[in-house]
Amino acid sequence: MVNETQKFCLEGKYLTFNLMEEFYGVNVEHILQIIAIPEITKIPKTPDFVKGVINLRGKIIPVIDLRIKFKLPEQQYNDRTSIVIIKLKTKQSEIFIGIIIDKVLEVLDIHNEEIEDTPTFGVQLDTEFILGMAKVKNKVVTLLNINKILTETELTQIEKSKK
Amino acid sequence: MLKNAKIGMKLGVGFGILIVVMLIISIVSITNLNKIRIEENEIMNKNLIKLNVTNEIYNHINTIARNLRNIALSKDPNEIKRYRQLIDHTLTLFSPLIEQITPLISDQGEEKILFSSYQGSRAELVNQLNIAYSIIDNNQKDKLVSHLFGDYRKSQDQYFKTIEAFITYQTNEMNNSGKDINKYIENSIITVIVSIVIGLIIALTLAILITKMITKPINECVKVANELANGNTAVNIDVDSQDETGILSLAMKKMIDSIKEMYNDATYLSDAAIAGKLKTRADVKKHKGDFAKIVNGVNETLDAVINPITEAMQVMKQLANKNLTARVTGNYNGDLNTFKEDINLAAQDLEESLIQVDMAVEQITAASNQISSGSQILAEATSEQASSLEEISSSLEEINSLTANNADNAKNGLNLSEQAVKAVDEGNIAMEKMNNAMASILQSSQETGKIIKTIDEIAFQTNLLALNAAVEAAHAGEAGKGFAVVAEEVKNLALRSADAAKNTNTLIEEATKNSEMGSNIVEQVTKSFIEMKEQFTKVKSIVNEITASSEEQAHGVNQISSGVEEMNRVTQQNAANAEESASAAEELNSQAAELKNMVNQFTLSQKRHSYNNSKKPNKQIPNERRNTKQIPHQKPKNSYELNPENILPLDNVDDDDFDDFK
Repeated sequence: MVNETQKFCLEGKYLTFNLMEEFYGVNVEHILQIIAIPEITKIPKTPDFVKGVINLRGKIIPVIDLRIKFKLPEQQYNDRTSIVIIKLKTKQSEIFIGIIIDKVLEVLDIHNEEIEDTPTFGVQLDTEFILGMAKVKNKVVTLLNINKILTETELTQIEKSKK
Repeated sequence: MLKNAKIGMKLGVGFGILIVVMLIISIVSITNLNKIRIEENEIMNKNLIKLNVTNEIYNHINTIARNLRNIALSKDPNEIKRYRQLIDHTLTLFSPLIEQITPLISDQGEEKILFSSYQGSRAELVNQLNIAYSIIDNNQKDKLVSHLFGDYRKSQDQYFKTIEAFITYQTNEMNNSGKDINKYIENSIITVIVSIVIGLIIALTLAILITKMITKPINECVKVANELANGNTAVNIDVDSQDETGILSLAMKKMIDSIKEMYNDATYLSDAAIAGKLKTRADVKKHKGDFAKIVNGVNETLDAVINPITEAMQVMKQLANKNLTARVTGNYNGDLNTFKEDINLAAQDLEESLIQVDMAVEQITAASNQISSGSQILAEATSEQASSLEEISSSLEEINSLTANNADNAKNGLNLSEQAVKAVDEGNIAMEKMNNAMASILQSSQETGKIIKTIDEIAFQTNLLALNAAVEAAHAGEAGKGFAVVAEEVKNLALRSADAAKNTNTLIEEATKNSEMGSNIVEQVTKSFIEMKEQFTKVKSIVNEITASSEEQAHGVNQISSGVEEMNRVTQQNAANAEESASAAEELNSQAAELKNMVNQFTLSQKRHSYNNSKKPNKQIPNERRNTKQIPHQKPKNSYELNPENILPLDNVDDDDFDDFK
């Protein structure tokens, strides 16, 4: 699925975090900031994974719950729950989105030899949002393609609701 | 070695040696005959032929000479021609003759020289003959005659001379051979004679030796057998070979030994009989067959005469050893039977009188035993009673002291109860203080928990800051590398302080839980103290009651003690009397036993058993004794009617108190 050059490009610094005791990684170049969970303003008529918006230093940023997006069981937020603010590029412009995760871990250097292809589970399954799997310190870290987590439609929907 | 061989072997060896000698003689003779034959061959096949041929040649030369003379004398040419033909024919005869003997001539030595000169002179003669022929052809008769008597005669004489020399040589050779033959014959005659003489000597020696070897032991056997036949057993035979004669000698030796053994045993038995040793017998096993029968017969004869005497001796000895059942039991005839019956009658009379004594002793013993056992039982019972009384007395003393102890203990108990009540009050006050202390611990723990929570929050924020810094550093690329390290350190510190906060929190939680538990326990203890106080108050009143009843008890026990002392005195008296009568009975018994021992030293027969059977009913005495044994136990009950309840009145109310005390 990922050819050699692509794979080569995957090397870099990743922010790792927990979801349901599993490890995920997002390339730091997409990341703006990490914050503790603040008060979230709920917005009606949005998909269930959109938790609402927050005010980050005067900027309104929509937040989505990655557990719900990944169809994992929901969990009461606690003092370790954090929001990672990421920068997404859409066709028109670039937008900032906060994703709610269980626990933020560390910034890791991931090298090419540690990365393996995404396993194919069958034709029907959509694994586009996964860049690859990295083996770091006896753990498997799923490297996320942050641009493919939300579909184009979902993105526009979020944009609209923000306004 | 030859000595031990069988006769066949010995004969074989003798004849073998003879055959060898004969063979040697034959070989020597044949060798010599062979040599003779070779010499004779030489003469017959060589020398004789040579001689014959030479003689023939001689004749032929004469024939030639005669014909030449005839030619010289004859005038008829035809006749001359015939003579000449005759000469020519004779000349042709030479060559085959010469050829016949040439191979027989030896290659060297005198013979060859002689033969070649004789050949040479023959050639000369032929030469002269040819000259003669040429003269004849010229028909010069005078010349022929002069030639014949001249040159021809000369060469012919020469030829004859060589022939004669040759003949002489051959004759000499033949003579030599003849001499050799004679020598061989003489030699072989001497050799054969010498061999025959040696052979004869060996054969004769062997014949004498072997014959001696065979006949000597046989002669010895014959001599020994004759001695035995004359009754002389002091003979011996030496066996020094293993052949058939040796075996015969050995058998002879065995026979002599058997006869000697027989003779010795017979002598031994008769000597023993004369010396009065009646038990002496010969061992039959040493002898075989009819010899054994003879020895056995002698033994049996001795038995028949001596057995009754021996048995009578044994019976007497047993009687002397106090065995009165001994009797002579063997079957004997005549006077020996009377002897047996007299002995038996005497023994029987003695035995019967001793049985009578035994019966009397037995009766005395039984009677004295009865007395003795009766008084012993009485003594035992009395002493049992005395010891029981003593036990009662000591028990009473114990009860007395126990009662006094009880009173003391009750007093002590009272004091202790009072002290316990005081201690419980003190415990209550201490518990209250403890409760207060615990409450304050709980409060300060809760406050510490709040502080820890704040620290944890700060650690989390610091961690987020460190991560943000790391992200920023990553954005900055190479320039942010140093910053990334710092961020990492900060992050580690944040994580460590978070961990420390978490640990502290769990510790505080535990402390809180423990102090809560402590408060509960204090409450329970306080409750228990109150209950204890109540119980102790109850105990105090019970102990007071115990003190009072103990004093009453002590009084009762003293009364019982004096009664028991009186009883003890009476019992001691009884015991002394019973023991005296028992010792008297025992004295009687021991005297009876002594008498019985004396009788028992004699062994008596079945008659005694029949006496025992008649006495059987007396054996039931032990049962009667058992009945009497119970009497002493019952008596005191009937006479004194002592009942502990009568002496120690126990109040029913007091009993109830004891139950309570339990």
